[in-house]
Amino acid sequence: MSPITIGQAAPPFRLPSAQGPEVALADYRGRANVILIFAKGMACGFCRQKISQLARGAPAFRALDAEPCMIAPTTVERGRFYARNFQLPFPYLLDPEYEVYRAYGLKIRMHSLLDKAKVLVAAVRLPKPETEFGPPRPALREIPKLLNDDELGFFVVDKTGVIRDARVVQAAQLDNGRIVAMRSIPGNDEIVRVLERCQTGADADAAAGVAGARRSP
Amino acid sequence: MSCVTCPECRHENRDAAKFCEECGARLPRRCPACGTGLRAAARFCDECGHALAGARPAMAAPPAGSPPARAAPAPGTPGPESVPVRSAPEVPGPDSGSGAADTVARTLKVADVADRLTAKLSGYTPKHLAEKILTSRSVLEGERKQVTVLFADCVGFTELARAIDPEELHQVMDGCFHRLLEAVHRFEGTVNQFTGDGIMALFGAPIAHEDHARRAVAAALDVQGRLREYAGTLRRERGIEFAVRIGINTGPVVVGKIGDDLRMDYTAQGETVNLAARLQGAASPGGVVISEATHRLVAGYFDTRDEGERVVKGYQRTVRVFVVTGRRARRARFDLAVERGLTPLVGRAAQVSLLHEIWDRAAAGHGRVVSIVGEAGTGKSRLAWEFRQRLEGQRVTWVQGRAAPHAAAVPFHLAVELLEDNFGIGETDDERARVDKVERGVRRLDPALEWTIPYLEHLLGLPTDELGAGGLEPAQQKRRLGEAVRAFVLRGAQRRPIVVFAEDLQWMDPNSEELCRLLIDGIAGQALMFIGTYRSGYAPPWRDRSFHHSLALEPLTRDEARRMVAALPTKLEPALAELVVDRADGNPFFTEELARYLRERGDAAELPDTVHDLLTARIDRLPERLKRTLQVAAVLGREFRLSLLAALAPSADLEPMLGELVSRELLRQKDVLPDPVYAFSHPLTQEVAYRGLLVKSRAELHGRAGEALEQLHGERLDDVLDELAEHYARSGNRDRAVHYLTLAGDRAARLFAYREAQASYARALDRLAGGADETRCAVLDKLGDAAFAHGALKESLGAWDEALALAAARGARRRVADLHRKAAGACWAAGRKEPALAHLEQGLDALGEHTGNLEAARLYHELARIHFRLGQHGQATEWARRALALGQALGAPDVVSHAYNTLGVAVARDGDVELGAQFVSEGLETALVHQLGTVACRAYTNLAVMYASLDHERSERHCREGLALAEKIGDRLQQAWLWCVLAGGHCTIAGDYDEGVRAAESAVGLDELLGQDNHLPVPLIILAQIHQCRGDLERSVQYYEKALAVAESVGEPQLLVPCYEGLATLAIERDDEAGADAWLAKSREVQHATGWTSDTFQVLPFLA
Repeated sequence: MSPITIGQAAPPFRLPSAQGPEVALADYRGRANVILIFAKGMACGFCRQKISQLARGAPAFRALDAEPCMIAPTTVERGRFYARNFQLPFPYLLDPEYEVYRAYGLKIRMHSLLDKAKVLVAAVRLPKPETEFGPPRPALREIPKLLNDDELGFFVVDKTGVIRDARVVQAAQLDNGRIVAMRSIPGNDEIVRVLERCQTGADADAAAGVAGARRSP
Repeated sequence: MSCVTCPECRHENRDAAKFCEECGARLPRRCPACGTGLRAAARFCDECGHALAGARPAMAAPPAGSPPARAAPAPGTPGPESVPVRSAPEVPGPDSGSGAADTVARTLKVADVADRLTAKLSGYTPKHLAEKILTSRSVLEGERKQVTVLFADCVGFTELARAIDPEELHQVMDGCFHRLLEAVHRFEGTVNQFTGDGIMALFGAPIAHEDHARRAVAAALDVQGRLREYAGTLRRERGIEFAVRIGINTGPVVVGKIGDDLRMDYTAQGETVNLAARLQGAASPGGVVISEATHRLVAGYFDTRDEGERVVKGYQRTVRVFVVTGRRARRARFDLAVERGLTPLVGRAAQVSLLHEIWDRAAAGHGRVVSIVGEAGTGKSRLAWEFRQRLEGQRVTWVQGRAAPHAAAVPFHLAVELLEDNFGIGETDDERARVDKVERGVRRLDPALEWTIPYLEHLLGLPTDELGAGGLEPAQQKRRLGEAVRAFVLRGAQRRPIVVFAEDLQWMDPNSEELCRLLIDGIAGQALMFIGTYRSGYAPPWRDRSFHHSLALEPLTRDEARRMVAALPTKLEPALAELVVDRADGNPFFTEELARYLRERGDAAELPDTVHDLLTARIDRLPERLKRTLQVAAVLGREFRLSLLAALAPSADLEPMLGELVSRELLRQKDVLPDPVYAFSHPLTQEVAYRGLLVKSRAELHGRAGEALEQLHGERLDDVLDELAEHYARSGNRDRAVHYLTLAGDRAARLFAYREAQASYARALDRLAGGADETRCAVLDKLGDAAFAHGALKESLGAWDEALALAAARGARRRVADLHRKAAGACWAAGRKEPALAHLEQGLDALGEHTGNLEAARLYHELARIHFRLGQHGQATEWARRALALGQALGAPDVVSHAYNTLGVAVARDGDVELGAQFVSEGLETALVHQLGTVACRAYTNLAVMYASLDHERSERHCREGLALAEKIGDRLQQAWLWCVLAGGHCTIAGDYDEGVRAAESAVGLDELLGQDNHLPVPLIILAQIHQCRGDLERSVQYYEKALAVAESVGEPQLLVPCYEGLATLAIERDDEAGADAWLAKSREVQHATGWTSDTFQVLPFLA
């Protein structure tokens, strides 16, 4: 599936949420810009940090008519458990079958054999650069996890349903000789800047002309 | 003693000379005992009856013209160590007889004989030795020297005394003493003591020799050889059994006063002298026994038999003993190395090939002279050996000889060596064989050279009548002698190419030098190569010839030295190998010896005797003033400034003297302006020169150096604190030493060099043993600070505990409070919550009503910080505000910046991250302005955490800045914190988990090393989270559990909540809802206690 790009219409979805009610992209239409995060969810400490981060930014986002929304491959039962036991500050949508993941062009745990081979070769052959923490150790034991990792995504969908920011990173991407996977979203300050562009550009819709997904980092 | 006047030129020669050192004429024979002139064929002295070499044994009579009698020292008992003793330590005295009256009479008789003999002989030292000693005695006095001690003692003297009458006994002993003295003097030892029935002789002092042990053993063998003959005579003519035992040991003594009679006082060091005396008793009659120490130095030069461990009278433990059985052929240090197996040649390839290029030209009939110049041990002999190996199979005559330090005054010594080598004359050849070899050699070469034979024989000390027959003047004769040698050698070169290899030219006697010059001037068109090796300082007269080449042997480079160490058969650990490379500083011989020594003895601080003796002898050969200058300089270290040396050794011609030392390559000049700096060209030279000084004069010189430094630097003592501390520390001036060591520590701490600071304080403490409690307490306090600053928690706690006890005893309330505060911080860092809280409590108690001071402000802040970490938000804010107010009032930047930090993290955790960040930034600014590194690092950590969700770039920048600072100031506690921030950043910002794992693992390593338990859970939690994210749930659980175990003992909420929640989510992923509930219940309990939600711990994970 080809990656989703800025200016494109966001693929629609309707999913159950951990909090209870189903949520659809269409629910936001004309009402709010959506900060859409595809992540591992509550099962990951770092994802939880991101949830907390977005919660902190909520007042600033709200001022720009934006709301965060997370989509995670969590089962309905687990989702309900999390909702009972943790504060989930914004909709946490459950997509255990990765249907919406795929719709947004994200790769999931089942990569093609070719992809796996590429990563493997790169991991074995590329020299690891010296870091400030001493000589690099062979990261071979990490490779299986890289191969089986999900891609994460960060999108901003404006009130008209158009993609205004898209950051997708393949699970195993080569950067300067290292295998890098993106598991990050922008800082709140940067999200605010993106949202500001949405607000000013919403009418002109100039962004529709910008082609190609931005790849990070 | 008398000297020998040359019948030709009236020059006065030393009394053992065979030839005049001025004109080369043969000198008339003289009696070695009384100095009377002898006829050529005499076998006994017609004045005193002394038996001459080759004489059939007869009784020696007392020599005429004996020196005036002086009181003989009585054999004494050993004095306590390091008390100068004039007599030998307890020497086994005459055995007592059986009948009492008889015994008394005999003892009197024996004592009388001994006294008379001693009185007569004790002043006997040959003139040339006497001069040598007297010119250098003032520098020698007070030096610590390695010497070899020889004890010779007559076997069964008491029985002998009983058996024969006193007059006869006198004669027998007189003959014995003469032989002993001759042998000792021949090898330039000095007889230091007569024991009545024997002697004690010293080698190596007062005359320095690098081969003192070999000389002593050679003298011992010489003695026994002479006495065997003598004993045979006694047996035949008087029916007396006579023999002497000899014991030899090597070790240090301190040279005391040297009297005009050359008698040297010394202070025995350890067993040096005593053991020699004891070993003598262990020898068989006529035998020579040496100790292990001596054996190490002479092994290879003599044949010895290892007798193993033996019980020696007067010793508790057994002593390893060697019996000397014979002498090996003439050899040099290098010959032994060849025997032992040479190490691969390193770093000399260019020189070897250059030698071959020069040889190619020489062999083709363009004579060449090559000088191989280098310090002792740089491989001069080795280079020539390599060259010679490669000549193997070529048509070449190789003639070699070596000048020797003890023969520098022997006319033609080197020339004789070369000629003997050429004719194949060995030590065992008698006169007949020698004559035969010379004559056959010359005639075989060219019958036309017949005329040279008398000259060559004359030179070799062989009897020849024909020399005077030509009626030539002495000067003419000398010229003819030179021509004869030259003609002989050059004719040989026409037959086939010759290499003349002459070693150690720096010790060459003037006559040999003249002869060599004459030869070299004639080689221009000859197939001859003259290779001379010498140490720097000597300049051969032929150095400006156009066909002269000079090869300087530079020290090995570090890499070459490493390769050499690696190639040695004795494998060393890498750290020891580096040590050897450092100390040897590029000298191959030192490298090899140090490596072997380290391997055999394992003592890295000591020097092998071989190296020590070589350097000592080199320093001792300097003129007195140069030597003194060098020694004073050695006190100042490897490098020293001229101004400082001038202050210590004021002298108008100091610079010329240093120039001379530079030209002798003992020193080199490093900087010229403004204040010249000199350095010892080899570090071991400095070490040995320094060791030569007596501890007392070292201390005195160090004291003066300290004072001079104070004067020279006046107000700017900061630059020389270490030097000052060092000098006073070694001077015995304890107060000044402590003063400067403390200042040096303070300065190091200011420069964030906390380890150095700690070391300085520790040295100050060492010197304070028994000093005032107040000073001690202050230094301990500082030591604790320095130790804590680089993460040595245990050591800092130890220091502060000790200081607390001292301060409490003095009732110093504020100091007690402050020390409690520090101890609380260290306990907290080590994860020990209860003692930390107890210390804080005690601190408040100690302060009592006195609360308006700095100690109070600091204590308040520590209360705030620890309450924050315990999640007690209200108290934390309250104490932080009090600390801030008091700190600002007192103008205490450390309190202010810490308090801002604590306020900031408390506010942030309460929800207002931006205000919190403002507070922390305030704290950071204050810390940076006042160079408070640790607080600044703490602020960087907090800011990086706070901005992680706001501004990625800023967060990362703070993290890097903090890490750089923590590394610069060596604060490893803070480094661990910052690495974790970085790890978090790698994972949540950059998404690079490999880097995250690496950073976190580094932090784990540091925390474990330092025992920083209050932080250890942080990196463990990060690792658990990474593995959880990657789906390695099992490993994740392991890390969480490990983290939790430590976190629970610390009891810190920001560590506990992530563990509980992490484990809860892991349980859910396994569909273990009950397990998850249990973890979450625990988490809620902690959250409830603090009033903070799990969300705040997520967004601000680990605040400092």
